[in-house]
Formats: sequence, C-alpha cells, structure tokens
Amino acid sequence: MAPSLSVQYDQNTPSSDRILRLHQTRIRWLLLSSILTILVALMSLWVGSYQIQLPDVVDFLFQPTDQPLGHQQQWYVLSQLRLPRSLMASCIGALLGMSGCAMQGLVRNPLADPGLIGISGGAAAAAAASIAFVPLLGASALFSTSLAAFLGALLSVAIVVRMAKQVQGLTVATLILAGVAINAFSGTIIGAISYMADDDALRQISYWTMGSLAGANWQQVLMLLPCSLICILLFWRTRHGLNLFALGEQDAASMGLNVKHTKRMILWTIAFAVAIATALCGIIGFVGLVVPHICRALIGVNHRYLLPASGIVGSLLLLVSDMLSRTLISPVEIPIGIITSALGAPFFLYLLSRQKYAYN
Amino acid sequence: MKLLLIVLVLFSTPSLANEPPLRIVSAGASVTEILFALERGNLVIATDNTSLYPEKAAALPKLGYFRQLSSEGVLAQMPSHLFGAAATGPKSMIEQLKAAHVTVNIFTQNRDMDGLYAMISAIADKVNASDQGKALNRRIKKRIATLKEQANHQGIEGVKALYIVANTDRGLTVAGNHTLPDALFTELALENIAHSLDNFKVMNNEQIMLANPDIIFVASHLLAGATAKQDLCGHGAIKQTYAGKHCLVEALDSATSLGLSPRIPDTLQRILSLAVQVTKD
Repeated sequence: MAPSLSVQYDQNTPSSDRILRLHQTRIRWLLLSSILTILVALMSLWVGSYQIQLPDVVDFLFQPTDQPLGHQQQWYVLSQLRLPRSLMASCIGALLGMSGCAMQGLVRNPLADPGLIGISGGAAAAAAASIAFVPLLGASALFSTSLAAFLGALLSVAIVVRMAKQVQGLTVATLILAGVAINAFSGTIIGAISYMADDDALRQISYWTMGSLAGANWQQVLMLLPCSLICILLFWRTRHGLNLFALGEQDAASMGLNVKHTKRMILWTIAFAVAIATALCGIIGFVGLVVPHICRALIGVNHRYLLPASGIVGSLLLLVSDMLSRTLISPVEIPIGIITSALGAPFFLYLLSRQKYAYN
Repeated sequence: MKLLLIVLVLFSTPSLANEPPLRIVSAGASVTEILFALERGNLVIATDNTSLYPEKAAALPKLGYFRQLSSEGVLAQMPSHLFGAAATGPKSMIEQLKAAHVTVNIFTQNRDMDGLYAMISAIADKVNASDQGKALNRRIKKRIATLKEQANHQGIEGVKALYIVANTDRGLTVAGNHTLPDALFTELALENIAHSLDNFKVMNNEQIMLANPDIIFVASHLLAGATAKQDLCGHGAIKQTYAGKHCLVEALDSATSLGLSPRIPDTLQRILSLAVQVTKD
C-alpha cells in the first residue's frame, strides 16, 4: 500500500506549519522517487539478453570510455545499446507523464490522454506514408519515418487548434471533438495506406504502431536531451495556470490568469513533447493516462508537485517497461507499447470502476 | 634441399589457423536452408524462429522473428556474421550490428527461379562453397527442366490456378503478381487468375467466381484440420468454381511455396500432379 502523505495534525497546530510539513513531505517523496528512478536506470544497464556481470557494469560506470581488451563487444552493448536506451526511456517517460498530467489539467478530465487531440493519429498516418512510399522513391525510410511522424503530429495539432478556435479563444469541448475527428481521419489514411502497401511495408507499419526503444542511439539522445529539458521547463511554468484551471476558466481569468495564452502554451508544449516521443519510439500508450493518476493518489492535485512527480514516475514506468520488454521472453523483444498497454489497460478499467462506484 | 623445400612450403601456404571460423546467425528460412544445403550448416550458431528445416536448424537456438530481431539477442551469440533474407530487420538492428563489427549480409533476390539461383550463388560465395553452390543450382535446374518437359507433354498450358495464403471474414488473401506462387505457376505455363493483383491482396469473391480457377493451392497452415479441405471447397465463392466443384484443392508447404528454397522442385512436382488431373477430366 502506498505511503500516505497526509500529515497528522491537531486543531492547535498553526495552518502554516501544516502546510510547511506537507510541503516537506512531498519534497521528500519527490527526492526518494528520483533516487529510485536513478537506481532503476542503473539496473537497466545490467539486465538484458547479453550477459554482463555486475562488477563489469560498475567498472563501466566509473570508466565509461575504457574498452577493456577482449571485452569490446561488452563495452559496445553497455555504451552504445543500453545506456542511450535507458536515457531515452527516462526522457520519453518524463515527457509522456508530464504531457498526460498537463492534458488532464487543461481539459479538467482525469481520463484524458495526450492522444485525445490527434497527436498520435497524425504521427501514425505520416509514419505509415513514409514507410510505404519513401522506399518507392529509392530512399531509405530509416530517418524519414521519424521526421514524418514528428511533422505529422504537429500538423494534426495545428489543424485541431484551428478547428477549435472561436471568438473567445480555444474551447475545450471543441478541442476534444476536433481531436476525435482528426484521429478518425488518420485512421482512414492508415487504412488506405495499409491496403496499398506491400507485405514488407505493412508489417513495418504494424511494428511501428507498437512502439519500440530498440533503435535508440547517441545521435537521437543528444537531440532529445535539450528538447526534453525545454519541454520540462515549459511544463513547469504552467503549474500555477493548471492549478487555476481546476476552478474553471472564468474563475481562473478573474484571478488574473491569461487563459488564452496559458492554454495555447500548454497545448503546444504537449504537442511538441508527444511529437518528439512518438517520432523517436512510435506509439507508446497509457503512460500519459496512468502516470498522473498514480501521482495524484500519492502526492495530491497541486501541480507544483504533481507535474514533477508525473515526470519522475513516467521515467520510472518506461524504464521498468523497457526492462520487461527486453527480458520477459529473451532473446525476443516485446514491443514496449504492448507492455505499457498490458500494465495500463487493467489500471484504466480499475479507474473506471472506481469512478462508477463513487458515483453510485 | 629438403630443408629449403620445407621452408618454402611453410611460407607459401596461407595460414588458415589465423582466420577465425565463421559464426553465422541466420535469419530467414530460405537462407538457413540454403546454408545447410551447401554443407555449411556447421557454421550456423543460431537462427530466427522461421528456420525449421532441416532438423539440425530447428534444434539451434532461436532469436525471434527475423523481421524484428533484437541486437542484444544476436550479439549474445558472439556471431561473426549475420546472414539474412530481404526483410530481416529492423534496420536499426542492422546498423547496430555493423557498428559492433558483425558482418551483415542481406540477400535481396526476386521471388522467382532466377532469384533462387542468384541467392544460392551469393550465399555460396560468402561461405567459400562456390563449387557446392554451382552443383546445387545445376541439380535444381535439371529437375525443373524435367518437370517443364512433363508439363509440356501433359498439355497443362493455360490451366487456371490460384494460391490462397489467408482465409478470413474479410475474404481470401491470394498471391498476385511479384510473388513466388505466381512465378511457380509461370514456370509450368499455368495461368494465375490473381496475376492482375500486386503482391498478396484480398480477392473479391465475385472476381474469384468469374475467373473460375481449375485448381487451387493453399498454404499448408490453412489446411491443418481434418475437415479443413472440405470446408474450403464449400467456401461461398470457391464452391461455384471448377476447382471447388471437384475439390481440386491442394496444400503446399509454406516454406517452399512462399520462400526461396532448394526444395522448390518438390513443390513444382505437386503443382504439376494436380494440374494433370484437370487435363484428364
């Protein structure tokens, strides 16, 4: 059972003391969960199909550039396969977790997912087109698929935002409906492409939609790290706005929040973060839906703590999922999207049943 | 003089002891089967899940489906080479193996008889088995020439054939143009009624009825049950055709009818046998 973060107090304790104690407890929780995430990331360097002894992993951590004679392949697995993969899992987990948290705060619905506004659908349609048609032009689809997915994701959000724009600004209800329409349209495009594609392209499209971190390399990680940092900082800036959105847009505006500007900023940060994640790894579902719920239960609804918690737990979830995908039926690798769905879908059903029980 | 001769022999013979032996991971049933047919099966240390022939290959460690191999899974076998069929992947895995100094050879031949001969030659060259490769190609060509002669003699030219790879609620997926079944039918001068379709596609039930195939071949995994053949002959579209009315339906081994295999002459023999039944009627 998760440790309770409620602080025991009596009526005589000044409220400022209570708040301070709660703040300190939450900070402690964030620190502990960060340490746990780092430990899991280090453990992910040790586990895998290629057997590496723990002392060799420790040696590598202290001297990462050293290639011990006779162990070059081991060094390659650690430095070129596992380390970039773990870093990518951490960054993408954080981006997806925080995006989910921001999305749920923006639309004021705990069942919202970043894919609601058509990001995943647009990315998938563009990736499918790239996989099916780029080789016909004589080019390699290796890098064009990622670029296409990224642009497709952003384009779909741009269309959704345009459709949802009204005189008074973006309305949440229209945003969601536009997202549903874009997702449906993307499904049509994917269906048509799947029909026209040859056998090889069809299978590649199928695998892409399941998500995978197998292709992680340093080139991608070095691009991902600064982008992740920017997204995380932008999300952090929206924490007060997200707290005020919980009161409703009118009340938030009356408390001095620039609703239009804040909504746009949140939306585009989510779009950028999820677009990068999807472009690099394909579709990894349920992280953005499940992680904010776990964090809300443990740390409360204040986005000052909820946002960083979602980032940390998102990293942790994806690191664990990646380890499971590599080791459950080793040497075969299960696409990571299947692992996160297997973990997330039952949890989502549990959330729905809990809401139904609470309603009854 | 004797000493001089010994010295000359020692320094003229290339030192084979210095060349490390090949350790091959084989991905794709065709590639694995050809390696064993070239008497180089001893070099194969692990295979993908589809490599089940011959028995020795089936007994080797399995690394997953050849289209989605894991880099670590392959590297854990300490290979020197990866030999893969055309769709071996993902592409990132291939790049990672190359960066780890594993020599990667992907064989991308057309799905027809010329493609088979080319694949055998290409693989033979890589494993220092050129003579065995040429001999294998000669044997296959000789058998096929004999079968074509028989086909000509039996007058099966123009017999309408169809190859089914999947039977679902949405329809029958058939082998169209640019597939191996299409190439096999062409070898025996049969007419593939699905030739207008490209690759493997779902064929409309009405089109199947109109085209009226004389014989139908099915991937072996579709005729697994005891009544599977009768069920297929009773399929809504098939029962209206000549092949359905006479239940001229035959299962062909998926590995030798969908992949480039040295056993393709056996498959052609089975196709010929069924086609002959049509001309006898």
